[in-house]
Amino acid sequence: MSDLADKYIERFTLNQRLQHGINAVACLSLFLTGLPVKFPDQLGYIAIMMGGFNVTTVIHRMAGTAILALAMFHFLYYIIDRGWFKDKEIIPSPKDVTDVIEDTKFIIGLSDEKGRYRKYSYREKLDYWGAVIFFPILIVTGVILWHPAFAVHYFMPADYLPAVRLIHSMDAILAGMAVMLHMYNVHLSPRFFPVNWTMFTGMISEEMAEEEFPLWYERVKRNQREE
Amino acid sequence: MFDLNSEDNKGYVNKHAEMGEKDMNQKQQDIITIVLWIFCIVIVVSSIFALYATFGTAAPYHKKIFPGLSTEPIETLAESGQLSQSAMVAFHYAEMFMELLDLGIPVFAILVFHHLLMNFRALIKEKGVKF
Repeated sequence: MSDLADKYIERFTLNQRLQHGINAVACLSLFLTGLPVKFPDQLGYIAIMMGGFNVTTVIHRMAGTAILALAMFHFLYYIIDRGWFKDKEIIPSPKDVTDVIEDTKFIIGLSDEKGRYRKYSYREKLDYWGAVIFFPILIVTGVILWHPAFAVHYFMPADYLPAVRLIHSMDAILAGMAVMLHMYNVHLSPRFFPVNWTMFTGMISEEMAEEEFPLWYERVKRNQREE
Repeated sequence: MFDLNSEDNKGYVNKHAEMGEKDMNQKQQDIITIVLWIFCIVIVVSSIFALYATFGTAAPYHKKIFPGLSTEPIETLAESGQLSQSAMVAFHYAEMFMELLDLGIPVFAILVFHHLLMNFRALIKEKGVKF
């Protein structure tokens, strides 16, 4: 085994990285083209720089289409693969609460050890489940706003559209804040600054894995030994 | 830089067990992934084309124009009878609920601060700084 293989372990598959990449690009495009619509007086210049609202509208809808396809893929894939239920790595558990308590104790000096995470800490779970909960709201309201005539024809009075528009925009702002939190956690945090390459290469150094996700690291090493 | 499939690296991590993919081999998994991607893209794109075909041009929402509604503020719309009472109630409930959700934003700030403090504390521990 090479030295490099001794030092790195796989954290994300190519499939997961591809999904994340599409999500990241689409979300950033959606924020960039959606915010000028929400705040045209303050941020309208962003749309003008991109070629005007006619252009940003098209980009917004293309990115929305990508998110819609991605959400569908993700949902179907995890049903087929049963990834959510096999290892239960991403499912929130009582241990997340104890990890938060352990971390808080660590911060204020009551403990010398921070929480020992499995594959995903409560921060990653918050990012993921935030997206799982809020994306469907954005997708449904987004499709209604895209084709209001469709929604009005089948299931909604026309004068409910302002409420739908409000939900879509405010949910998007919340999602934007969640992305900023995510960016801090994975890139701007002093431990990873300036960039964390794990989601790009799929690999994490053993040193970092042991430090950040010790229980997962121990399990990976145990599996290696058993092989 | 790092070839997962090279002989050297085989077996250094129980990849399938890690990702919960014990039941499928890599090839089956790749095929399912590709087929599923194609399926999802086709479904979504054809649905969008169907919407355009059935209902015509998409709403020019950047101009804040919706069927039967003008660009007037919500209160004016209600007063002029363009919004029903139930639509007004729906709007205000939506506003209240979403503003409640946006209270989550300070929670994010607290989480960032929490994480920053953790790094700071870890640094103190590593460097052995004492107060």
